[in-house]
Amino acid sequence: MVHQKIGRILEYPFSGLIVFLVLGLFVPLVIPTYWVMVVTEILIMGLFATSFNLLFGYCGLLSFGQAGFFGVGAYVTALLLSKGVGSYILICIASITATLIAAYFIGYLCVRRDEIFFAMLSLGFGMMLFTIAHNWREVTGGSDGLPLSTVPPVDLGFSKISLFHPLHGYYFVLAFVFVGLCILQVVVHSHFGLMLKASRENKERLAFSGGNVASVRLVAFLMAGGLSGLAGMLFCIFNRMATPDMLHWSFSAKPVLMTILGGAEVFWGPFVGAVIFFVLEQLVTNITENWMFVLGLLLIPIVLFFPRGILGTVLNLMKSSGRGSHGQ
Amino acid sequence: MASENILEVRNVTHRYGDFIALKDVTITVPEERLTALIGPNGAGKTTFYNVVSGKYRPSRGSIIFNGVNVTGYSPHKLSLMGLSRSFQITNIFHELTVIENVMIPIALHEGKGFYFWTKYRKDRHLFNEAMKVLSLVGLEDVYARVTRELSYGDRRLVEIAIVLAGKPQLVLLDEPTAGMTPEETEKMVHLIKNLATTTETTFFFTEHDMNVVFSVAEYIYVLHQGELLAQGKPEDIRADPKVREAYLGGSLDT
Ligand SMILES: Nc1ncnc2c1ncn2[C@@H]1O[C@H](COP(=O)(O)OP(=O)(O)O)[C@@H](O)[C@H]1O
Ligand SMILES: [Mg+2]
Repeated sequence: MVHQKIGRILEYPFSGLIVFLVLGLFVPLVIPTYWVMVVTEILIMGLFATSFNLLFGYCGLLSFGQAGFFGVGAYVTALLLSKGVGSYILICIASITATLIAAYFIGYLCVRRDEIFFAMLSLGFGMMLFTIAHNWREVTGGSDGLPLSTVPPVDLGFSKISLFHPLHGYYFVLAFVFVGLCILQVVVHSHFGLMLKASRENKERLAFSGGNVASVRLVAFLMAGGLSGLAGMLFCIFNRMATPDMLHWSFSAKPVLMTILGGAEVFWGPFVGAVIFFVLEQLVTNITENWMFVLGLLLIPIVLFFPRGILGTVLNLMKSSGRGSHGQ
Repeated sequence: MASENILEVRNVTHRYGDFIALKDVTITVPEERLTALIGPNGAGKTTFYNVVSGKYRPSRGSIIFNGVNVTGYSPHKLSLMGLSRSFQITNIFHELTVIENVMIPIALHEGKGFYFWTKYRKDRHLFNEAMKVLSLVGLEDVYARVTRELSYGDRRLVEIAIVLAGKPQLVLLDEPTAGMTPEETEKMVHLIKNLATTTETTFFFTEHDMNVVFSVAEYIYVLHQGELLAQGKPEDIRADPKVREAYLGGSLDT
């Protein structure tokens, strides 16, 4: 049957990336301009949620301060752009480097804790970053943030491409998000990825097997932080501003919600969660202002009855129905 | 010169708060001698292993492994140096497959823990090494199963496989037959004897079942209320009245 085949294809590690790339390249060509903007935001938040899930799904660490790193990436980008820096390569390197430095210090202090202690520590450090963004007016612009009057064109050598055109902006974001997702996908299937699963499963056994649990976690924390910073950079370029609410703990809740919607146990769960989150938000806000209420209504049955999330549940059904008819 | 004793524990004392769980314990394990640590429940056997394997730092005393003073070393460091252990309560990766359980220590001991770009599932060498270890304990047929689905006895064997995977020089087994059926116990005893003679690894195990101890061990230490009560060959220990008293008679003759 067709869906069994799909199930088997989905188990092949890189088929997800291929599907993503094909959809990513062609979908914006057939949807209205307004939706191109929505899908751009989905890409950015999908990368953000997937990097968050490297910690949550693969290491069992609930980071509640991930927005702090997203915000560092966004502010570094805004600062450089407002100072007239025109090279996106340079901006990308600078925002990721700054995020990695922040993630190193915060991660060093967080990774020796578990569960609620890790979550609260990461929340606390995230709020410290928020406070810096909010109160250091001379540099960060305080509560107004840093609005950008313009963003420079992308210099491809043979031509310069303006990011003001929604489709250009979209493909610009797609390229970075695709690279970010490729990195994550490769990492979770690597020897290191096996150590991440081991640290989530049984960190004592990992230690007594020769693994330095704190180092394994710290490296994962750096990767998740760096890619969240990359997402923040894209968000800043896309919205032409950096604001303190990007670092607020309520912004950290977004990847958590998206991951729970889509499913933490599967690589594409958080991304699918981001798609559902934004598409629903668009549809619901057309009808009612109470989008958060509807989101709550949706989350409750998922948490209670489908703890694997929407994608996790669907993939699981496909797998078990595939197995069922194998036996016949 | 490196000593012939793989392990020397010198005058170790360990306290939990005010409670003294180990009192001035000195134990020596020569290379390749199958040694046992026995004692009634609560004697301090597990505490002793926790101290030796780096889970706890002893309140006093020192631990010499292979001629190196390793007191206070972390478990992962000791593991990489060749000191491996099992736990009284099965301590494995329950949600991973059997072969993944064994691949983890092998990859770590081969220095592949931070390989980011190589797929562990495509690592033929890692797979083959893991299968070799699984065949030592007889689990090669169930290598692809999720560990949680195995029988209790097989899960205990997975832990033995994990412990052996890094080719350790010294293995500490904390009550390897705990909770096993008589058949599983016999299989485990046979396995330990076999491994001790066929590999270069030195085995040091704790056990509460006296029959197991006397049939396997070449040398025995007896711990009682945190203190070393006796040591010697199995026949000496069997005849020792102090040991009989500690076990409240009975069980030594069964
Ligand atoms: N983590 C701990 N905290 C406090 N007391 C402990 C702890 N672990 C063991 N004990 C106590 O230390 C004594 C020795 O325990 P243990 O080493 O587990 O003995 P055995 O393995 O010989 O049965 C027991 O009285 C036990 O209650
Ligand atoms: Mg014990």
